[in-house]
Amino acid sequence: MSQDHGGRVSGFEIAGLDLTAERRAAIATAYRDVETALAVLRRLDLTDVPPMIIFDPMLPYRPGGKS
Amino acid sequence: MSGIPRARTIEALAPVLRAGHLSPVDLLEDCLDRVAQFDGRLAAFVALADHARDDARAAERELRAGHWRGPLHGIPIALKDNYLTHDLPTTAGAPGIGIAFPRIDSYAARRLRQAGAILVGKTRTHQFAWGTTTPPTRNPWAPDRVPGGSSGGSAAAVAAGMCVAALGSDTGGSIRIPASLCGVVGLKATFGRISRAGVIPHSWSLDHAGPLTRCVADAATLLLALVGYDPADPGSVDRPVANWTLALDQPIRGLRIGVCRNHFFDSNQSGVEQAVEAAIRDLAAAGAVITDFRLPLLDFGLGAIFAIELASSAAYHDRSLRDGIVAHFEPDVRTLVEMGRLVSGADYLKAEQYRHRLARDFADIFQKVDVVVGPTTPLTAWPVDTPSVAIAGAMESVLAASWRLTYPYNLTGMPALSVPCGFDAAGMPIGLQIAGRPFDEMAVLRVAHAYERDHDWSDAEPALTAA
Repeated sequence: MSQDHGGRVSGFEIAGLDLTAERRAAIATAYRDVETALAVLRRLDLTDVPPMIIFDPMLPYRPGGKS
Repeated sequence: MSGIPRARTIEALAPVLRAGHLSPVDLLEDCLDRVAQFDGRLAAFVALADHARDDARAAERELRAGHWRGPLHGIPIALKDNYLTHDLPTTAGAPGIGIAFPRIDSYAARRLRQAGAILVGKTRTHQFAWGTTTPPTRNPWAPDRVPGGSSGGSAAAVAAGMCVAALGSDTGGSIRIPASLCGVVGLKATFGRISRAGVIPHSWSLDHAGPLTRCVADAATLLLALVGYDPADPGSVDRPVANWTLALDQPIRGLRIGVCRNHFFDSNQSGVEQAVEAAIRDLAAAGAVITDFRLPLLDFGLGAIFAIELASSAAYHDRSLRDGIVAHFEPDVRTLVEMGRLVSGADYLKAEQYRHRLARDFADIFQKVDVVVGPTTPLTAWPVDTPSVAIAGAMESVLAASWRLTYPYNLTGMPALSVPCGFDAAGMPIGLQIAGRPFDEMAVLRVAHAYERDHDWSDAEPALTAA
């Protein structure tokens, strides 16, 4: 998120954020640290590792479970 | 006030309350006196329970009649302001902005009431539990410094003796960080051990509920009161419960203690490093077997916690994003919530893949060790409104540094506890973090208790001054 125009601006729109230019600039600045950390994470090859989150389509059917 | 043990712990208070040597009413009045004296400056509480005195009188009657409910009977306990309660409003640090939370009891509040605890009030949270400073709460050890967060009000209230114990929540370190900075014990049990039903969500798969206390035995007592399967929390697990309090005194001779030499020791303030190294030497002297190891995968963790916590927070606050209510959030929290929309689905799932790998690496480590110890935070309490401090010779953002050593255990769901292990040159408390394999809170509590018993850090009290 190094610029507040061009392709990155569409990132806000894709994300459904209707923001003023001032807010976009503030978020873009704050997001730099996140982006740096995400870039480090993306370097890992985790192709064969399933995600940790648990998929439980049976949840609404468990006693007391909520959908 | 006469009759109140100097230690002001559940461990010390429960027997005298049960024996009738101290009235729950007198104990509550003492806590409320301290709130009146000190909370003008510390700002740890956001609300006090009007009927706490009635509850204390009811506890007194029951105790006199010999109906002892257990060690929490008559003990004043505070709840972080993200636990729902039927008798006090819950604001999650965001009062008056158009978000209303139900007036019902959270699972934890219900369990504490059943155990006879006196719910004294609600403590301040960093807004929506999303930050590590908890403004405007101040640190009892130095009122010009932060208490940590996001459970900063709970930690400050316990450290100042305004309640005997408190509950907090921990998504990336929010129990353990303020515990470390305020010189109290903070416990995040294994993910799923304590129901989060009725705790305002921050990040569903990272959130933990847990206690902040004045000693390790009290943390074990509260853990025992709060554990159990609760179908109202999809993350709750049905696992055997041990009576941790009975096993605290088991010796740690022969216990295998791991020390992760990368990440946890990459960049710490010198006072923190010295105190934690001394603690490790003391544990070795007590008979524990120390094993150093490295976990290179930790170098990739920051992106994972960012992706999960940001995206989850944005999902939870989706209505506020849509309706423009985020404009009324605190500026730092608003930015974090809005940023969450920018995290891609691919990055989120990669973070969850990372989490799996990290948990597996820790599982391998736990073939060789029983617990892992290190610092809770790389820095001690920093001055209010200070965005960065020197750590190991380099200026670093306090927000980035403060959760660096705690979030790995949120990603993995492992139990982790912070126990005081000294003070830095400025007199600020330092925390030793002890983590264990999932559902082995016993080993964590045993090591923490053994360390605490051999040192008097927890006996130290801040020199409080009235506002």
